[in-house]
Amino acid sequence: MPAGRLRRQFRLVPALLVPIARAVGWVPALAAFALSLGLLALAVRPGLEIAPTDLLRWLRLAMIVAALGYAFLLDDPSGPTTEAVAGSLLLRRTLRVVLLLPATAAWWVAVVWRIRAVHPGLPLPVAALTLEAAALLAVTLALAAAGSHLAPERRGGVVAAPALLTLATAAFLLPAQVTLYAQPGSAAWDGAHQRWAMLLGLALAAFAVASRDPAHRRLPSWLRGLAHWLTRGRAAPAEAGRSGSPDAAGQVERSVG
Amino acid sequence: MTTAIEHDDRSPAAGSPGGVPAGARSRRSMLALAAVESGRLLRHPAVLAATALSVWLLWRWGRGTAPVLHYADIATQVPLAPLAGAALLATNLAVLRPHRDGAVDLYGATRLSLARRTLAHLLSVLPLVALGGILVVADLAWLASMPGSVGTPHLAEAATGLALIALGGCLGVLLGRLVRSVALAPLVLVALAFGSLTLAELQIGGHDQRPWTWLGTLLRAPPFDPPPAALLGRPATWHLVYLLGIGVALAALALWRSLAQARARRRAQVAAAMVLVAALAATAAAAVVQTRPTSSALAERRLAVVRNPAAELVCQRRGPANYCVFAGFEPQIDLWEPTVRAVVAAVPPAAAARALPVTVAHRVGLHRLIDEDVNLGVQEGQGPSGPMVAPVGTAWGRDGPLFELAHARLAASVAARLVAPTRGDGEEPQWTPCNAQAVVALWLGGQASPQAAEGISQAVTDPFSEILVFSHDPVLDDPQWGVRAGRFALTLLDRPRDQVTQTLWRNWDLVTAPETTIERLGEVLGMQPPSGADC
Repeated sequence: MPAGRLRRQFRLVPALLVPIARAVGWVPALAAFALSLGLLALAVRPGLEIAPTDLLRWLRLAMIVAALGYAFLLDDPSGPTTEAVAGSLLLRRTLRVVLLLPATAAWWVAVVWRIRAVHPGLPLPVAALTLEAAALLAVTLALAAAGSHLAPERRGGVVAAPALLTLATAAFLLPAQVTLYAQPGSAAWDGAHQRWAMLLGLALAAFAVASRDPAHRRLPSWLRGLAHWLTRGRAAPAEAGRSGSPDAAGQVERSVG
Repeated sequence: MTTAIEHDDRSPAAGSPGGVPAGARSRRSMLALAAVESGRLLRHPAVLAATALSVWLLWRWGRGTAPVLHYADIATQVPLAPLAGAALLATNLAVLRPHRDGAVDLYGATRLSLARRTLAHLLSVLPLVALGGILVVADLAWLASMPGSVGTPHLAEAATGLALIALGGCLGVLLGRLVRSVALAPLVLVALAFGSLTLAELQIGGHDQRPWTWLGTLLRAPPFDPPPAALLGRPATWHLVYLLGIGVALAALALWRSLAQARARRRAQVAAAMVLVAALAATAAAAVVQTRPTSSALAERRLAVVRNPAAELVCQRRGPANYCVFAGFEPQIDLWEPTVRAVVAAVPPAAAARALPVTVAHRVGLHRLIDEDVNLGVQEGQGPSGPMVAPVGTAWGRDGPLFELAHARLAASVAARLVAPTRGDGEEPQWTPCNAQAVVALWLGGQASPQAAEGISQAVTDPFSEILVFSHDPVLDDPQWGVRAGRFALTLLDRPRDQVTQTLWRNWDLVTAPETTIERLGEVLGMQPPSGADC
């Protein structure tokens, strides 16, 4: 992405924040966080003896519950209409995620605090588990972004939520050689977290690819050539007239898309 | 902006030509919609993925096992849970499809009322239930055809997974009629899964101490070897009624809600409400019955079996051993015989003649049904059960860590009874788990079959303490083994069998004497024993 276009996109952030905050469906995400905390509080409570492996399983289930909230974060029925706004789709979606980050951080802090408070003597590998949570949320976002291409009205959550549950179930059943849900101290722990890190990177890349702005889709080269040939005569004076303005260049680029 | 149109429950297209009554035409349309929706449901990606997962889980459970069918029917329930979850998600998405596609008003032009459409969605779940039924029947038929298969499936246990699918479908429809958000169903699903797992865990920890855990949906079989069906005491039939009652109540609630939304005739609403009340009454009654404590008759019978296991067993002599099994479990003897014969064949004939016949008997950890921590002081074989036996569980199979441990338990126990025989009734055998005789017995057991060797290796490599037993539910008949003796036996198993046999046979009395140490055995065999503390 050219630096100039990137600067223009960043300049749009303050103007976009409030409309996007209004457009986001907060209820599913916040309900998922609340449900995740509630279920974890039921499963991990004072006076109930629980093995460290079981504790970790509940924690991971709580992550999946919270990730379900992210599945609906990108749902945007107004997507086809807002394609024409200046902020790119990737920027608008990223802002949705950024707006939810404080609540996500609060949820994660509450989860860790609850486990630490109930089982103070238990060594909890917080950094590795944070990586697992981040990767799971990123995978959910990638599924939601990809799902928006499949579901009507850009409601990717319809695809992402069942897909997340299916993938999470499959992840629990993976063979030991490629497991994602390893136990702390086991030989598979480091390998599993390398896979989580890789998954995080892949999911973010998939999110970015699936969020390419439809307004900037490039036409096939032969079609671009044909369009250029057809419009050469009429477009030439107009191009010459606008060539001094960088903003105009952006508009022309958009009109070709 | 769209405008919601309220429809009467009667068909908007009533009175059209053809001479067919409007009610009949509406019913036909409803069935046609149900057929279309069921086709879409069966082709839904979540259902396809769940079906594949269910098939894989059923196959994984049954692969290589010698099944006990009154446990195998319980084991079909967890594999069908993904299908139930998929039914919840897919029916919810199907019910909300007109809202997503902006087609709600278009339905006003059809002859189908909202209640009929709801009923069609509810009926569309039935083919998915039938698919689950096919999977269960195929699985149980496959397991019944396996060698060593014993027991009879319980119809209610086998149908519980199917009831869960129906329950999931009905809940998906109801949620769609209550809230027009696709986000609700996944959240409800994970909450239900979380709750079910919690209750299932609580039951595993307490069994009969927490009968209220039956208010959950999915309760796995107790985590020990299957006892006879009569001793299990699971309220399977009432639990099925409980689940079906909830399913019918959810369906009736969805219908009643649709009728109320469409301002349908009062009579139809009253009928739906009556079905709802009847279903709730059946559910409540089943809930009360299934959470009653275990009957005193069953509790006494279990305690009697725990105190004197021999009383419930039927014995038959085959070759070098007496096999005592629960009635109906006789086909399992065929599976144990090769292992027992292989152990006996590796013992000098004169020594074998002094110890034979060895008694191989079922011990299943039934005491855990009575008291998880064995605080009552009850344990199988503690009572007047006669001479020590070679214990064997009812879970048996070809491969897998659990079955390898079962092979090791049988082979090593038979070897222990041959190496340290009981001289008379009630006499304790002279057994030292950390001396040479333990090494010899473990080698005898390990050479009997690759599975037994793998089981010994598994237990010795990852021990909980310096003394180990080859069972998660050890009983008094289970011989104890020192880890160092186990390591020495594994080293011996790597050496040529004939060479080890010859040396042991020449020095049999010495190497099987209780006081002979591992160091002395090492001198006899010309090997350096593994380092480590004696226990």
